[in-house]
Amino acid sequence: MLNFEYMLGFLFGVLCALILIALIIKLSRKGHPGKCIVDERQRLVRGTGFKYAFFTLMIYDVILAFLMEFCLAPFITAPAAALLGICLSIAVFAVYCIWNDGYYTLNENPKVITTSFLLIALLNLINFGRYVHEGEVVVNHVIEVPIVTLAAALLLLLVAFTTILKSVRRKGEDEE
Amino acid sequence: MKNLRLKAARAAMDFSQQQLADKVGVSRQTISAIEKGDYNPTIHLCLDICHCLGKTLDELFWEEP
Repeated sequence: MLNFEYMLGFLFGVLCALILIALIIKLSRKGHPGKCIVDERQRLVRGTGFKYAFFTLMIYDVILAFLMEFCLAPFITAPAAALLGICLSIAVFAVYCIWNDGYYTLNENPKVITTSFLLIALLNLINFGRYVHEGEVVVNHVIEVPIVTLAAALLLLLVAFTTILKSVRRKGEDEE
Repeated sequence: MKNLRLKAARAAMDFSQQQLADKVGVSRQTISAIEKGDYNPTIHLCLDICHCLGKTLDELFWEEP
């Protein structure tokens, strides 16, 4: 049963997250803060990225269905499995788009976004540590939803490190 | 195939890739990809680039068969 304090804490958390997102958008966008401006090449790259992400999710679902069907006991809850699949497909999309210069829009500042992602990843890792400490990640040999905090942290770290790696690589191949 | 004519026209106008990209509303990487021949721009973008550099489509993008 959800008590009043829990709901109040939940609402406060949502409010903090919304303020944080608004702050990141404000700091990371040059010019039109509400719009994502992408050029025609970036739109093509994103389309291909979506395609790879879609097929990744399909393959993940087939493997998951196979494992669920043939494992004697369930090893992961359905919400956790679904959310991990989404994290995986987002990772494929993000890495492909970053590597092909289609991830960051024309009015975004990758440095601000990368820094925010690193900070949010750190918060997720701390939260995951708390879940591990309280024994909520694996209950009765079944992986529970809190595993998603680890997946989200790894996803954000992957996006941040791919951005850094790409910018280092770009410095070498910049304007001749 | 590399588009050296675009690169030369841009250099003649003393534009960097970033400056040309800002003028036609694309990313610097897109201009770089066009010059390297890694990306075929749409006719719309070709026209924008031509207008910006004061050249015709033939001068910048026509390839002899």
